[in-house]
Amino acid sequence: MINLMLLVALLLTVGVGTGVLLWKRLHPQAGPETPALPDRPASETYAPMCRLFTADDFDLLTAAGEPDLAKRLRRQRRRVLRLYLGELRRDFEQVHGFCRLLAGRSLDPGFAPAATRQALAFYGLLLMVQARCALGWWFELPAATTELVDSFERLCQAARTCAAALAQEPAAQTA
Amino acid sequence: METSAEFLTQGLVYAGLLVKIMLLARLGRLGLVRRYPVLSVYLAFSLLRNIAYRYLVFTGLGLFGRHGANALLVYTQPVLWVLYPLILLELYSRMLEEYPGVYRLGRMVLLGGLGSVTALCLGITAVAEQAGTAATDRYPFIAYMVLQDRAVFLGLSFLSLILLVFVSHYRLPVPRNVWILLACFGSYFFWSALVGAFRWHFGEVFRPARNLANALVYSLALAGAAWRLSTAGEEETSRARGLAGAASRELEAALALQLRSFNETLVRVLKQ
Repeated sequence: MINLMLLVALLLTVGVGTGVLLWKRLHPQAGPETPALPDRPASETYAPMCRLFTADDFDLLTAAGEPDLAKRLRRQRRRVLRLYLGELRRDFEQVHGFCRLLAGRSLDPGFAPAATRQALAFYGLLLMVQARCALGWWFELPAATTELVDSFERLCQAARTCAAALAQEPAAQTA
Repeated sequence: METSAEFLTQGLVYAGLLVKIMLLARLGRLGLVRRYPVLSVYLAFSLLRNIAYRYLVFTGLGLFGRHGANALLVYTQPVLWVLYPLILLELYSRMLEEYPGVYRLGRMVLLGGLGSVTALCLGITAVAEQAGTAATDRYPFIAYMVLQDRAVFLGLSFLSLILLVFVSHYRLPVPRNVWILLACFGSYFFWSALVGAFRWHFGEVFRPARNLANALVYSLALAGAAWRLSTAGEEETSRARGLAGAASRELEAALALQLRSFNETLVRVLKQ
């Protein structure tokens, strides 16, 4: 009986999922946000985030005989890092949404797989940084956050290139 | 009561035959046979199979030294199991054919999905075979076929969902006919898997209910397709057009924004 119940539950999940998707597809919500790419490079916007856990500040405090102060600073910076990560994730989602729109229009068959790979890499890195932050593994955090921002920047760059190619397309067709 | 259910099932089977002929004729009249070759082959094959089955039932002829009608069903069932996923592949191709940018990724997702779904269904079938069933079937081979049938339809349900998730994720405008066919066949796959699960669990007792429910849903699915398919449906994207339009407007706005920002940067550089 348990087998049957599990199977029916699985099937109902599939059925409800399909139904919800079809419903959403046929009854779209009005006014989705207009996606856009960030004006400033991500490395510039998120530079303070990458510097949050550089060893200098903590070494200085430890050398000055203030280990408690160093601990407090770490706690505070962890909170700040979490806020930054939330912001970065929102920005990334917006750019990824833009990429998905571009993928449907693009003639480059490599763009969608590349954007998907970037997204997977980004979310993997984000998860790793969040785990390190939660577990208190500070040592490699600056490198990991820099890599995270680079991953975001690469997606922005790919989107810019694709958007530029698409923008030139109508002009080429007109000419 | 049982007799009336059987009578109703027989009626629905004949109605299904009629609807199949109607759908095939409609595909031919609308000039969609070339556009949906696998679907047309499936309908033609299924129609001939049903007619042959009826003929063998009435005449009582044998086939390969066995009871003719049953042998026909058993030997031709795997062909249908192959044709169903091919129909889904065909719909998927029609969904993505105008979008070269996502075609490759779509193919990767499809192959990955097909592999995962096959592995999942094999796993579930193996567990079910190992655990056995509380119910009894007069013929173990029939019980085995029911189990395989359930696995195939379960896999097809999952595959339909994966395709839908992919197309929704990229917000691609899809021709209305493809939506109609996906909705009709998807609901039939889902229903067959659900009823197949009950049939496997409750055994032969559930057979009349399963036959009746399957015949009803199958006839309704085909009737829905025959009723809604149209030539214009190949061009239109149905109500999803609203979304496609919104997506398109979003994209235009975003591209305009990108260009404006690019131009502003260019002007700044030139001024410097």
